Amino acid sequence: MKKMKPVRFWKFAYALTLLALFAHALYEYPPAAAHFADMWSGGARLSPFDSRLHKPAVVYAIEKSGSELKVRVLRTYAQPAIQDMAIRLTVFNSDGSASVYVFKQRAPPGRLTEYTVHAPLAVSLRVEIEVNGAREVEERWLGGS
Amino acid sequence: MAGRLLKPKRLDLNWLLELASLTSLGTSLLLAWTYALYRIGLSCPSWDCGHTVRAIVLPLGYWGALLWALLLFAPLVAARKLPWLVAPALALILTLLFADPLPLALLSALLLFLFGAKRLLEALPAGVIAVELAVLAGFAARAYSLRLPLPPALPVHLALYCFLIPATPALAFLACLSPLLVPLAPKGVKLSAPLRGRASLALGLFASFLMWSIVYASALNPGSKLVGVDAVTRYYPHALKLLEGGLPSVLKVGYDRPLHYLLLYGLAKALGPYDAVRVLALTPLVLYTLASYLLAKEFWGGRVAGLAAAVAPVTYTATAGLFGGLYGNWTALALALLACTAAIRWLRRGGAARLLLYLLLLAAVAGVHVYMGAVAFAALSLFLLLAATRKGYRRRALVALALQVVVAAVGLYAAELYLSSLGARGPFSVTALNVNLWLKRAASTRLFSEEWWYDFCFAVYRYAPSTALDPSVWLLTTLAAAVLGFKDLGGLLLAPWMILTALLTFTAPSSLIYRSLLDFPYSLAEAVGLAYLTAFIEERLGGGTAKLWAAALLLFKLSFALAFAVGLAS
Repeated sequence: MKKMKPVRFWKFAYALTLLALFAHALYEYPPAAAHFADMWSGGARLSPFDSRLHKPAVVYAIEKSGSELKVRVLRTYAQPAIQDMAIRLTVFNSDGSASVYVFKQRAPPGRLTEYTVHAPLAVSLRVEIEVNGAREVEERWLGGS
Repeated sequence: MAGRLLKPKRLDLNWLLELASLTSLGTSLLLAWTYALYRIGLSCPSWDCGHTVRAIVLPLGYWGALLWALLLFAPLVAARKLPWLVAPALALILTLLFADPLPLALLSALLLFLFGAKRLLEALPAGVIAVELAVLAGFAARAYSLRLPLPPALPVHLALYCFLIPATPALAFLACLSPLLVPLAPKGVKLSAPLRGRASLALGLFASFLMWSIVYASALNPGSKLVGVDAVTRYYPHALKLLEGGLPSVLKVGYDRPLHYLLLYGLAKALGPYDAVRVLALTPLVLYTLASYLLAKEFWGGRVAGLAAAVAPVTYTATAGLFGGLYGNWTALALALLACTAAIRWLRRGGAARLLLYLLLLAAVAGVHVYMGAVAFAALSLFLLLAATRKGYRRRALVALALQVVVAAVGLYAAELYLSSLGARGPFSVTALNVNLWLKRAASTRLFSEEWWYDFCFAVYRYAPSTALDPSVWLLTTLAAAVLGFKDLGGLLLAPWMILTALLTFTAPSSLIYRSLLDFPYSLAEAVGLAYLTAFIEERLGGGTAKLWAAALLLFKLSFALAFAVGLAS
């Protein structure tokens, strides 16, 4: 059996100690980094064959959780010059009323934006997106009461 | 194979086919990788008109799928694997049938096994180069209002690094601790670089002007509005104050950076306050590139110096410097590198003029930015102390160290007396203020706790958004510290400097973490990391492949930095 040279042994021992130090230092990293998970978890997806991806903006996802209605809009990579984007959300409620919310912002290509509105009675939603004069309209039935 | 590509004897059909084969194989692999990240649902944070989370979406469509299938044909034709030619057609049919590019992605992965790992390592950088060139053309089109029919390559560029985003703070942290790797450094490290030093220096200077012109002379910023936090909140209002108060106000307004404010005053007098701030942004970009080149040339020769110059305007120092408008820190860092160049020339060749130049430059660093002056003083003192342990340098290192301590003590005392008589803050009170701030923070922080990590992550992700998200900065810096060790004179400078940076970063208040990270000359470390990687690949896969990898990494870094500049100016 080959004998380990003393220098190699010390290097090996040092490397192990370093590993232990790094493991100790990084132990509480994952829970801290999890606070920023919204930056790298895009969530819902569109098919790469979805023809809407060739339009400047599309509705990426709609979620209703409790009294909150979340609408995610994707400014696509089409027409990459920066654009002004206006979003008009019309929420139709179960009591027959409707609420309108308007958001405006600059939208660079690829940007995912989430709009959250308080809509406890929402049953359906119309999303109108206007980018540089071009207008997209999508309507969704949300179900519920 | 790749070597033959880079040095064609004449432009023949086989050569073109080979080039197309490598590039198309690499690009199809990158498309498959982007598709995999899209399936996972990853997104990528960046800075574009404010903080932006970008979706990784391949807007493929039917034409895109057809193009992908054609990309898969090229390497099969070039390798004369004719029975395999049916595979891309079949994958395309299945893709169209299921309206999902999984078959094309699977076939791209399968080709890996068909062609082998060596071919993969040649094709990948070729693909990255193609993608990054398309991305750069896209940015040029956006910045200069050009109408070019370009493929949407940005999602593929984002896919190259977005999978490392969750780990980026940890990578930055490991880079800070990289001096601990010094005892494990291998023997006989070889460094290699693909381009001649002066050619790379020219590229670096071009990139410096490009970064500045995107921010201040492109269609993205038609009114040339001031860009960067300090540019707006500090330099412009202070330029107005300087013009109002005249030359004597330089010391009062710029008590912690009098030489930099003298420059600002001169520029404001000549160009007006607004243009003075714009030009002030160009100074550190160019000076840092030149200083990185000169110092790296002293340490490792012209070729590695060229890499340092090429990396300097596209590294973390540049992106964070432009975002924060930290022109004072950045200029002082560049001057510190020049001071170090003079110190090394003194250590190697002697000569009183070199020693005098070193001391003058070191004093200038403190005059341009007191805080950076203190950091550079400490880093260079440690460097001289370590150099004094070497036989050939002992006497000169100790002389330089003793003189710099004397000059610093006398300079600080004189500055304290003079500034106090003017009613301005002296260096002692500025130091005491900063030390107190730091000590308070250090006392209230439990190192590596969840709260500490939260602050560190916040600094990396949110405080200077996305400037620190280029993983190559941290990976190449770590690699440099791990391979240089203390045998190399450059290692004697970089390792202690990084220890200082780490100490400051780990104990800084959360708002100052990103600025503390800025104290280190990443251009030098990254150049060494890149040169080591190039030599490593050259030894195993040949010079051509090494050149492709070096070019791919540099283009990736350029795209990252330009994307940031475009977002900053928009």
